[in-house]
Amino acid sequence: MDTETSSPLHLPSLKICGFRGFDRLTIPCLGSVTLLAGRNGVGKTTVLDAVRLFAARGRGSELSTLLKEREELVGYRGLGPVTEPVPDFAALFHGRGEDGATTIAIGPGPDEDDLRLTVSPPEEWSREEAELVPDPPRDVRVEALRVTYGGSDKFVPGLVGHDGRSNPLGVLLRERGRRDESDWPAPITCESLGPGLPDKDDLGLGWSGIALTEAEDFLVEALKLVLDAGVERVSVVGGGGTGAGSRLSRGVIVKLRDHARPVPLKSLGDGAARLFGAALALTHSRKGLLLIDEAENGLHYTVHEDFWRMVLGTAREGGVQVLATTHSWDCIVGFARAATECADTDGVLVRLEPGGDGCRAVVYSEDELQVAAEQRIEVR
Amino acid sequence: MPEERILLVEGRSDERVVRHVSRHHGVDRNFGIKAKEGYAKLLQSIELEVKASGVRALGIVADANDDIHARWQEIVGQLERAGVNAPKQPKHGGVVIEGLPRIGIWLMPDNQNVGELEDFVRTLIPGHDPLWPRARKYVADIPEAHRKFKPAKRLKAQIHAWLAVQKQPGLIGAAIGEGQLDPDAPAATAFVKWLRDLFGG
Repeated sequence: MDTETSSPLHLPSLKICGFRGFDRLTIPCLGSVTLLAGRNGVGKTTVLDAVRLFAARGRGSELSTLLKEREELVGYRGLGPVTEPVPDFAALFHGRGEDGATTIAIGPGPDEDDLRLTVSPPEEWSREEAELVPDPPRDVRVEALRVTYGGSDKFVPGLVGHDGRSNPLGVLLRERGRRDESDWPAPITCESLGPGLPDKDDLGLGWSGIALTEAEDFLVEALKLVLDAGVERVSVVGGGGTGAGSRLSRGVIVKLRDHARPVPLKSLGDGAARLFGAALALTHSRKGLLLIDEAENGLHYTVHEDFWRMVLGTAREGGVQVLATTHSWDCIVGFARAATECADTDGVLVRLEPGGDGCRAVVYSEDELQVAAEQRIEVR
Repeated sequence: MPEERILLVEGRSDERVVRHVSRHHGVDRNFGIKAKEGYAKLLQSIELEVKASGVRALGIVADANDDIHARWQEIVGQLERAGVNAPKQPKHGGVVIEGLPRIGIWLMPDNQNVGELEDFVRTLIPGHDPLWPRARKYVADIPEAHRKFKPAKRLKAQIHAWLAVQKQPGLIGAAIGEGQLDPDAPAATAFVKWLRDLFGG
């Protein structure tokens, strides 16, 4: 990869207001690579979700995708005979809209740099916007989402409101006609790696973007972190089939030195699949953002330092800002060692904890992390 | 669960003395002790220990050494980095600063004078102890030219000479546990009062 001059971070700091579990959270300092720690349920994954929406500039499609991934769906019948599961927009708002929160703000601050999602009542809609909203059932007070960022003002034709029994209601209804989002502010490239194993079709698709480039070598090197030096080549097969009428789904295969035939990546263990997924996501998030949920998953404790060395080095070279969550002490120690060694990439650990008016962020610099790792001082 | 009440000390000797004195007074279960392998590491860790998750009370025990005010300033400086405002100087009976976490500072031997753990231990040796005069004489009899220690470490040499001839030679904590040191001496009870103020119990 080309070495980039150190580019400014997309998010040198982060403010999240009114989003899901956060009434207000301010993280005063993020690094090129930031590790998020804290107890279960404190909101680490919610921070990743907020960053993901910020990167997408609040596109309605991303809102829906995120809500579906979080299984935030409600049955909605609308005017038709069939009740359908639809994304529950109310779940985006702090208190799920029940405490009157109607605005979400996400960004580095100051305010003009924030992404804002606001519940918009019908009287604020333009004629064109009103036409995008399907007819609601009777007794539903209809509102929509207005998304503003950097001077842009976009309308998400969902419905946010209350039914006749005052139950909060937030749904995305099927739009009248497909809405093109190409006129929205340009998104930041953002790759997400969930806590589980990456989907093999996603890996295959991701691979197709880098096949026969120098990034291939990077992925082979990444796999060597868990498979020693026995990895020779990686490729993708499938999407077709060899037998009559058969169709194989796409899958990653690995050629090992001591094996005549390549073997499926997933046969080599969770660690190999996780590392491959992370390395692939790194190559696809150049000059953008990479979000890793539960970075320790699948990795033996001896691998963490090398894993973070790879992430920190690639973040520097590719201008990627990385945010990752963890519960693992080994992961933090590996991160601290690698970050100290990698002098020109700043690594930061942020612990989220209940405090004050909701949640507060405790920030640890690289130097502090190194001392904490040496003296085994708890930072999680 | 991480420890909610922690006492930071310079080393294993400090840990043993604190553990035995606090056990005698029934307050040893109120807190955990972290021995830091030296004053430098203790000082380096203060800000991080204050910031650690879930800590409700944090005590710091360090030697005053030969400049109690300089040492106080170093410790207070680290606390200020963690957002804790401490008094300008130590006080008799030790300092407790209310807040979350509650912070306590004790400078050995007594928050007033220069010295170290051994000066504190010296005050726990009963007046009738037959070995203490012998330990002092042993050190005093060593010709000046043969002494490897600096003059300021004379008391330390005497204490360790005294410890060397106890039932379990060299173990400072054992000397308290076996009754050779008096855990009810005024210095010890003052220290225990500070522990109670800081950690409860």
